[in-house]
Amino acid sequence: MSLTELARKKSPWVIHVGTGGCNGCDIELLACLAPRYDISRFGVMSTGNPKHADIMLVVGPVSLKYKEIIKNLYDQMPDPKVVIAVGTCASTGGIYQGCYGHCGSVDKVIPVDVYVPGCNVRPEAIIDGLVLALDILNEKERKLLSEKKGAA
Amino acid sequence: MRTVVQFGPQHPVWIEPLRLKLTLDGEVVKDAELEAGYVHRGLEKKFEWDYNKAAYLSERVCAICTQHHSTCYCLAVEGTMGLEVPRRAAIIRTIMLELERLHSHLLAIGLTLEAIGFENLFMQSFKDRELVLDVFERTTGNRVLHGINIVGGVTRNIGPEMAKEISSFCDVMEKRCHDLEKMVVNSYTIRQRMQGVGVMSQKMAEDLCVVGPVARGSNVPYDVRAVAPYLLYKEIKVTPVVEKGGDCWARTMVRVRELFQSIDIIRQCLPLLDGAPDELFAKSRSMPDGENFARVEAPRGELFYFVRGKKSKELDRVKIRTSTYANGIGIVPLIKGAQLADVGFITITFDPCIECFDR
Ligand code: SF4
Repeated sequence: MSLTELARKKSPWVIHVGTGGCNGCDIELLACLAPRYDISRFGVMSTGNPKHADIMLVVGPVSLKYKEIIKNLYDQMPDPKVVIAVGTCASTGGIYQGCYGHCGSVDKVIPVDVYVPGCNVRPEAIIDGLVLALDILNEKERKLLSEKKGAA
Repeated sequence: MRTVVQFGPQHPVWIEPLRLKLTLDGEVVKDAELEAGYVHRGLEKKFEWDYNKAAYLSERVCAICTQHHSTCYCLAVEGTMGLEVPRRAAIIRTIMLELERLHSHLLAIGLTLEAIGFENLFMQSFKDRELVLDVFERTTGNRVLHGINIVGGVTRNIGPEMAKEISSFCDVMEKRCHDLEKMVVNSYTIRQRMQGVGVMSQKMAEDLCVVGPVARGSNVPYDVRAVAPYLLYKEIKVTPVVEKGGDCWARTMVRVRELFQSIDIIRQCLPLLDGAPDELFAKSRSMPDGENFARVEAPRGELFYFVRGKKSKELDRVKIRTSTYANGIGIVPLIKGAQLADVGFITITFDPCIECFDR
């Protein structure tokens, strides 16, 4: 394991994007940061700046007005990056399927790596999803490196 | 020199998207423009659905006051059918409503304190909030969305054992809330930071028709539980909690004092469960017909549902006027003239809930 991989595994930075769910998963994400579940003890750090983030946590179906913004945020994140769809409505559209104001699940707009279903999700499930995302993140990093070597 | 700063829609202060366009002169905000609609999903249209399933849909308008949304919706639909909910169901609904106010106010207080840099107190109030969520989980099986309300009653009972558990929860919670209150009230720093910031005068509050803790913080004693009682509030008398200051401190203090009020109401409801017959659900013989509306006092203020049925399973129209929508208009005049550093803080004391705002 390289040093960057180790560092990333020990301290991933996440950005939290709410795009129009019902807040149920939003406040469970907040509960993850609060003492009972406390993901910061694993080194997870919540940041507001996409340029610092490794992992994007998206909550809710993407509303039409937010489509451009979330694409922007995604493009601003440095490679390698992972997107986690938190909640049923981020994964499939959930109960909002058929509403006119949004474009369904997150993967219609940006590529999603991990889906965490549940309406509302439990904090344990979010932590599970994060752990899964770390492996994917490192895999992506290795792939990037080998591509670079191949090009050189 | 004038500068224009875009505050949001993706901003670390807010967990939900809202955009403020601020025109600054140095550090002072000269002009503000509020833009919402980033999370508009078109829910009201979706309500033209099976009226019984729509109770679950109304929970998904906003998860912080789910119980209030679904109760209000159910009250409105029950009105169109002339349905009276059984007494036990009314008691259970009231208990759940007050529990929800507890968790919502703790969340709001925590976020307010975090906005001025008190990370520790934020953690403290979130720790207390977990206790409420535990009770929710034990009674309904879910932490945030409960799915307990349907048109005509409730789906889950609160038995004698659970009632005992809730009453011991009340004792623990009261103690924790006293601790929290002491820490907030006795802190010189918090007082200095909050008092005199974002002052809304009584006249302004009355003119703008703001509701909930925002209005009560400005000395307007308006509480739906007192002026138009529903469910069990017809028996349990509620006196609105009022503060005079109108600043961020007053709004926060209203929330802190309402915690004790809610605990008191739960305590009054629990003994009533003993005598009530074990009937949770009244079946209706007719379909929703005609127009009706209902109001409840959500944690953020008055919540209003209008329902029009057409004698079939589908509803003709549902209109929601949420409390944040009424309060949103008050944000802009308070921000004008404030310091840039106070902008996030003032909006947080309004306890904004953008999912309600946009629906
Ligand atoms: S998955 Fe359910 S609880 Fe989570 S944001 Fe969507 S509707 Fe709300």
